[in-house]
Amino acid sequence: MTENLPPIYNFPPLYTCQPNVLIREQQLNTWCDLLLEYAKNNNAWCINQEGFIMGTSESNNNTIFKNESIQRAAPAPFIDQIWRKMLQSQKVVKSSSGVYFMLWRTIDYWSSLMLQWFETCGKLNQVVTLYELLEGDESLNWEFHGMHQSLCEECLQRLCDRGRATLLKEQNKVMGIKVL
Amino acid sequence: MHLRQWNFVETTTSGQPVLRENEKDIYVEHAVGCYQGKSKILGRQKGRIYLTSQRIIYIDDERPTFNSVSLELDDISSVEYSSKFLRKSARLSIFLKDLSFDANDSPTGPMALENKTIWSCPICGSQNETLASLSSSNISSFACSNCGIVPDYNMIESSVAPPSSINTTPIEDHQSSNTEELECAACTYLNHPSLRNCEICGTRLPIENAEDGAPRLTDKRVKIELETKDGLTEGEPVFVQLSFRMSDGMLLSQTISKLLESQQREKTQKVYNKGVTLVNGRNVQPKRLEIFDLETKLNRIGIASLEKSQENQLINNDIILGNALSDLNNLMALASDIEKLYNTKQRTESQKKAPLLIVDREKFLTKDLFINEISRELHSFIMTEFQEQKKAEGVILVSLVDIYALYNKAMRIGSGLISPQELREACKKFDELGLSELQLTRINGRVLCISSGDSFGFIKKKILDIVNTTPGADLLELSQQLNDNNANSWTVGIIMEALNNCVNEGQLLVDEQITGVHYYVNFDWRI
Repeated sequence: MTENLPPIYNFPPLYTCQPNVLIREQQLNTWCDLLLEYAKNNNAWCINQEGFIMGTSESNNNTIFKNESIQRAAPAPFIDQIWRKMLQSQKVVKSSSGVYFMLWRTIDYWSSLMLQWFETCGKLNQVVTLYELLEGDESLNWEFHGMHQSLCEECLQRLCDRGRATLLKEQNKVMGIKVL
Repeated sequence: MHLRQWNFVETTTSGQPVLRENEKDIYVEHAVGCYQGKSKILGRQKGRIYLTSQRIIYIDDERPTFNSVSLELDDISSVEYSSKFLRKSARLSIFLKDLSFDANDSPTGPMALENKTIWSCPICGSQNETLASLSSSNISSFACSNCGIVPDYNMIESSVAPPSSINTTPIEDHQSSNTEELECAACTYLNHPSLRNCEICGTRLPIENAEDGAPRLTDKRVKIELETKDGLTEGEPVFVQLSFRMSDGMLLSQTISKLLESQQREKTQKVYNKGVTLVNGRNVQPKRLEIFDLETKLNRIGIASLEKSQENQLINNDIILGNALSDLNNLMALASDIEKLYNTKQRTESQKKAPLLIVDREKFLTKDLFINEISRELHSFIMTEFQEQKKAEGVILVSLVDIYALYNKAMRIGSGLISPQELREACKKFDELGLSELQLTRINGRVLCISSGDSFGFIKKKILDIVNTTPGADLLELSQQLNDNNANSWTVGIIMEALNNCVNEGQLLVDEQITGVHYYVNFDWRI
């Protein structure tokens, strides 16, 4: 899980909140990069406050904020600071349930990538369900495959705003999409 | 003209005089100028006067190591005080003894001659003393005090010692040895003739005879330059003046005159080796053994008296022998003590220490002057106390708290502790007093330290080097590595401050654990 992270992950002072403000700023940036790298490597679309990956079938009980190999763990107040920094730099989106959606690509990037998919697969002008888009066989090799549904809605909303798509809703829940 | 009475004074680098053994300082007067006769002495117009039990020492404020001079109290015959008048500041005229006269009244000691003739009785063999000189004409009036028989002059002629010959020979002996070496009255060490104080125990030596012809060597280190002519003439009493620029100098003058008085008294009072009868097998005291005095009082004549005297002699011999043996025992015990002392002393410290000045509050008129003196003492104290660190590392860095404890415990017990406030003020004065080697610095904006040069930068650099080679070092390991040769030169407090400073400046990163704080060099997150 954490094997492919850069070597700074094993640097003990990383887990202590540095007293110098300027240094701490850079330390938090390092954490942001680490978290995104981690999420990307593990296809972790959402991570909860404690650093556990959510929504995956395999049961893992290690968090990124704890490094077993050097016996270090970041304290909770410091983790709060890290998430605040992530939100501030728009690297994550906090959902209503308190988990964080990791944005190793920006939402705009995802929405244009989806548009590309519609075009290449010839799905223009027909209704496609969200399940088809995210879990279907046709999107298997695409980067957004397996994306969390609420994050996907966010991306598709961008397309609607640009006037390229209409969302089909049922009971206030997005069921399908039609790209013009 | 260069007065011979001016002597060179050794001073510490911080401008305090180095005292002799047995010397005690009594009073310090500030802002004093020196005059010889009526003329100012160049370069000695602003300084301090230290009055000690042996000397009056002038320490120049500007160049303490070159321009400082002293006068021996023994050279002073009298002092005269003149108060402030219009623009003329208060002065103390010090009249010096003319050295050429001194020779005549140099004490010849307890060997003053008495006109006595000693002869031994040819019958009983006891020695007789008569107050007049003997000759064949008046012999009939002196009977032997022991057996009561008047001897024939021819028989005692050979044993009669003319009054002078017995007593004067040892004296002449004594004096001839004096011309080369001066014997210390206290410890009998033979000193070089140009020394004024005993090399071993510091006692003042008797002033040597001027009749020797050779004038006493003048010290080449003392250079006296006068502004105008001093107006001193041959035969007139020689005098120097001290001019008080700030105070009225009353206290100093009174102390000096009192000191001179008491010294006169002490000189007559203190006779070393009191009651000694023999030195190196030579009779020092012309007094005979007491038995003869006793016998003359018996007033018996004839065989009875002879028997009695024999008996007495035996008893006395017994007593003397007994005394001698117990004295010998005492001497042996003393010798072994000294040997023991010598052995321990030799191992610990080879150089002997001169007595320290006692900086007492009462000696100073104002607090400011007291602080100045404290500052000087503090400077030399730190320089000697941290000598090894200075030698090994090149820098000194001690927190003021440590200095406070060290200084008060080492120097101030008995002479009144100083307060933290006073210590800080004294440290602030270093620069003002020209003691540029140390300065008061504030590290991390809160901790006051005494440092020499950029010692804080030095310790920071050392710490960074250590952390670089051993990442994750904690305070304990750092202090062990910094003080690796058993020298406790870097205190934990100082190291902690240096670490905090490094962390605040971003050179080090911290890793806080239950086991302690570990430090790492910052490579990744440059500011």
